[in-house]
Amino acid sequence: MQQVLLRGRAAFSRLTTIATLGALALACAFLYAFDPVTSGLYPVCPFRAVTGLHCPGCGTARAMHSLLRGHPADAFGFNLLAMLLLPVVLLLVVDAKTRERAASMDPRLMWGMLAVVVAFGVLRNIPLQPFAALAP
Amino acid sequence: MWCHQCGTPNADGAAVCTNCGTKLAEPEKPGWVQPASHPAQQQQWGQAPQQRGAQPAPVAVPNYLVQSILTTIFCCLPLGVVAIVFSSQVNTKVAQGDFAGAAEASKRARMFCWISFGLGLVSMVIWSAFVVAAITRGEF
Repeated sequence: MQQVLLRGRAAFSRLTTIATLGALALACAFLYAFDPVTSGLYPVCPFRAVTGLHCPGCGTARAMHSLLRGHPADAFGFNLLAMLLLPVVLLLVVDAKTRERAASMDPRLMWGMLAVVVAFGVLRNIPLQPFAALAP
Repeated sequence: MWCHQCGTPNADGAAVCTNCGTKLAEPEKPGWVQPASHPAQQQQWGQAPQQRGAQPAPVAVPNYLVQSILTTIFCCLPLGVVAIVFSSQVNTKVAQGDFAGAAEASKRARMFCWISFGLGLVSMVIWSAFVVAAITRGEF
C-alpha cells in the first residue's frame, strides 16, 4: 500500500515537472513570437486599467520579449525588478524540485521581497528622474 | 511507517527513508508524534524540517511559501496572498510550540495554493481560446 503511494508520488512529481517545463516552453515561444507592444493578444494589466498607474509587474511581458529577442538592455528598461528577480524565482523553483528535503522558505525572505516589490511599485510612478527610468 | 526526520511514509520494515535517507530502525524519540492525522499534507510539495523554535517540531511542517509566492505571481493574486498569509503563520506557530496550529496553517496554505492554481489554469484556458480565435482571424 505504502509502496504504491510512494510510486504514485514519484509519478506525480515527474508529471508536475514535465507540465511546468512544457508551460515554460510554451510561454517563451509565445513571448518570442508576439511583441506585447504591437500585439493585441496580451491581456491588459487590471491594476493599470483601474488606477492608470504602473504596477510592480507592468512591463514584464515586454521585458521577457526583449530578452528572448536578444535585447537585454531593453529588457532591464521595461522592468528592472522582474529582470533581477527572474534568476531568484528560477532558483527557488529548481531548489524546491531537486532538494531531497525541500527546505521551507524563511518568511523573513518573503517579507523582504515584498518590501522591495512595493518600494519598486511606488518609485516607478514618480514622474521625476531618476525614478521615471523605472517606468516601463 | 513514517520517517521521524521528514515525515515521509515508507514501507514497513524499511531500513532507511526513501526521501531523506535517515535510518528508520531507531526507536521512536520521546516526544515524537506519528503524523497519522495529516498524511495528505505530506505529499507532493516536499517536506521541511523546522529549526527555529527552542525545540524541533515533532513533525516536519512544510510551509508552502515558495508555492504560495509562485501562485501569487503566475495564477491568482488575491488567493495567492491568502496562501502566503497562512504560509507565514506556519513558522510563527512552530516557533511558539503550537504544532497543531502550524499543521492547520500548512494545510490551509496548501489548499489556497491549489485553489489559486486552479483559477489561474481556468483563466489561462479561457485566454488561450481567445488567442487561438484571434490568430485564426488573422489578428495578431
